[in-house]
Amino acid sequence: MITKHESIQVVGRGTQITFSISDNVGLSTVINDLTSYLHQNRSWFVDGTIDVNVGKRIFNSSDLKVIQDTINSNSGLHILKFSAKSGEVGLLPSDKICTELEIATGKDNDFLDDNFLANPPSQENIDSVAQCSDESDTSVEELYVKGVESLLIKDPCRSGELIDYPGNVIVMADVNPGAQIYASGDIVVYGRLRGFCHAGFSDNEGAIITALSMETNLLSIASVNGTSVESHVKPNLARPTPKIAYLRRGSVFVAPYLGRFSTYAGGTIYDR
Amino acid sequence: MTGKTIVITSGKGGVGKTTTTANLGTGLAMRGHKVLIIDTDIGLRNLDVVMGLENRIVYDLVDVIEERCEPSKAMIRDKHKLDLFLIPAPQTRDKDCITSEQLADLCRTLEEEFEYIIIDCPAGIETGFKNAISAAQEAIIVTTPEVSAVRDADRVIGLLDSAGIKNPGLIINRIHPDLVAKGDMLDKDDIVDILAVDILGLVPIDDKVITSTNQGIPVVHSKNTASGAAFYRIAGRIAGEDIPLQEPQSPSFMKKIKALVGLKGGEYTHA
Repeated sequence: MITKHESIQVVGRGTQITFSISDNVGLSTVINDLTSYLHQNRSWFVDGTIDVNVGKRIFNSSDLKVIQDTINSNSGLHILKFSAKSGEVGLLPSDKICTELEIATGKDNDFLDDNFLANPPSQENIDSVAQCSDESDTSVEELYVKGVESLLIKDPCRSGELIDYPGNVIVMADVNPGAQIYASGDIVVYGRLRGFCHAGFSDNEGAIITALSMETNLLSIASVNGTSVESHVKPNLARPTPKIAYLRRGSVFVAPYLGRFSTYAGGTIYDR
Repeated sequence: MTGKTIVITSGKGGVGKTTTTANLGTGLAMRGHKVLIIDTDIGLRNLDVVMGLENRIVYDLVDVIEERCEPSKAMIRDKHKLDLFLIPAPQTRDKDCITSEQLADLCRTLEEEFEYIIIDCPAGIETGFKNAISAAQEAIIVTTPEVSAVRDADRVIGLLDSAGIKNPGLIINRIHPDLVAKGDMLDKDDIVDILAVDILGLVPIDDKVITSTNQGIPVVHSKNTASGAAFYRIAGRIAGEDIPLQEPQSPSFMKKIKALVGLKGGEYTHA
């Protein structure tokens, strides 16, 4: 189900309904359109839960409160969570993350979506999230599992080394054969990846593995193990060809890395 | 005199640790330094054989550590009268009979007397390895241009790093220039790329190493051989001399002919 109404787009998949709010219009227009839309279709929304996707926009807590009140007063809907456009949200200032967490606490709902915490690498943000989490009964461990914090490794990961980290892992060197990295988030290797990497350990299917030179035949993402019989030639390290491994339709695919915001839909399947 | 203790290790067995220890110890002594080599391969001692001193052993390392004799009594002087001494390992005990602290204490004491103490580490990463590296301030990794040896060296470098021995030197032993030239053997750059440590020297494959080992005379005494010259240069680099790295070269056509008919000079040399 897809319904368009000016600045509001309603998308339904099964029992999951998402209100997507356009990035390009002002808040007053959004509220007017939302009120109008809910009023016209009141019979559709007498009960149930919805997600609200605010796109690339950064709302503050009072804006979110206004949207929430508008939906509550014009329908019988209950907001399950606010989210941002997948993978494209910028860094939220730490105080905004705090504010949203506070809202979540007040409503007994988990408004905190993975996307809000997609890439906050600075310690300042991490500290803020950790501080808020104490107030909102969201454990630091849970936030780490969502991939909040990253581990930076500057030395080569050598044979026999085991890195098991609840977050993202960034290696600024090679991962040698015999080394093993397990991360609940993404794994980024600025070097030759010849060891074993398991990203999204153990159920984060959105996790990825990137490497300047992907020279391994065994990669795991979430609960899927991908193997390949492809033979790897010695790379030209002066002109590396970075690759990304991602999960698609239950299989691990490896494709040339085209950038953070590219959509990946092909590549070499690791299923042998 | 305050010397330093260097451990020669590799992880994998059979790559030439003992031969390298004997040759580097001899090479340093030939360059005028006072050197002690200690065999910590308890139960499987070989360094005495490579040095040609197996018939002179009365006391050994465990006798010193268990204070049955003074260290000087267990030291066997090199038969070429160099300032080179060996403390052999016992053959009838096992590696658990000494502790890391005991070996470290012994080395700290002997560093007052010697410029270099070189420890021959046993293969593996168990007790014998831990004992040997605990006493050392520096390490030299010996590897051969084989994937398995490089993998083990990589593991050992990680363990040394954990033990506080950073950036060990690397010796690549038994390089076969012909195979490297054909691309059938890992070359120096491949190995350094994997291990990411400083290279200390390259030793070409050389039949003379086998014959000299069997005779109990380290090949470094034959400086006209490719391997002997390589070990002598590496000893110089350990002593802090600025000696440029030389890659082993394939023998010339004439040298191959000489090797075929058994004439002198038919071995690998350096450019």
